[in-house]
Amino acid sequence: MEIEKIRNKFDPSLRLYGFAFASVEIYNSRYFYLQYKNNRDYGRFQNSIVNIWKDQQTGRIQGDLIFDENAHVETHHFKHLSTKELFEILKDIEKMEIETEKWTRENEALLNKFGFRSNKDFVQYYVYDARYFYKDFKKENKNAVIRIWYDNKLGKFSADLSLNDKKYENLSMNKLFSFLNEVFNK
Amino acid sequence: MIGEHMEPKKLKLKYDVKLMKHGYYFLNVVNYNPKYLYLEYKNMKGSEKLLNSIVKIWRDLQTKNTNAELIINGYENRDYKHLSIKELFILLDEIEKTNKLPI
Repeated sequence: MEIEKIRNKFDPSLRLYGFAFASVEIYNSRYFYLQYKNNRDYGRFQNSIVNIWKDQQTGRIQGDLIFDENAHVETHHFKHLSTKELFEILKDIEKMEIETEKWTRENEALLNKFGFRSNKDFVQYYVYDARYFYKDFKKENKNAVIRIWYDNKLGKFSADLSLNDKKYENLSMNKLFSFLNEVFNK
Repeated sequence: MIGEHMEPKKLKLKYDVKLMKHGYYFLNVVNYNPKYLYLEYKNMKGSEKLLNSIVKIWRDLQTKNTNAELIINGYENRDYKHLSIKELFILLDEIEKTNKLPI
């Protein structure tokens, strides 16, 4: 009964992110885990796992989000989340993915024109939530790196530019491109 | 968080040697959540069933409770979560002695 109640509560909202119920495990006769596997064939959640687990002694329900370690996505796992935190993180990661894809479509080719390239995806900056994501672009044969930041809470991109040991931080995209124009298109 | 830097060292001092006796070597400290601290150990020269398995010693920094997980990676994937430290060592002894993974 208990398991059905929890499933009724979480199945529909997890389905929105591509997670489908997979199994139940009981640990130490006290904790039961409902495991959900992601069945999307795209994106960061692909093959990841969500555990909704209940401590039957305290009645507390918590969540884990475990990414597919073989997917080469440098994203940190999240454990011991409250269910509220879990859904906030799922929402934030999905938002990040949509926004960074949009950014990539609009800006990456421009950065490439200036000779800055990256072969990686956006990765999560090591903090305990899904707030900051970044991607580094390097300019071949030059001592120049651009780090593009996405701040999930502010919904904003900014850039840090390191050029010949000088640093220019927190530049808006407009400022970054006018700076690059000035320096490299003289 | 207060004590964040000291806790891993204290935990390591307490468990490194005990786990090494079972073939586990310290891998890293993982912070999945600021309220919990995880130390990860990997089995590099233990018994057949335990080889490549992972032990996680984790501490709830608020309640100060310490627990453990044993994750068997191999042809029989299995995990044991929410073990007390005592239960973890009993389990490791049992697996080494019987060469079986208890259900």
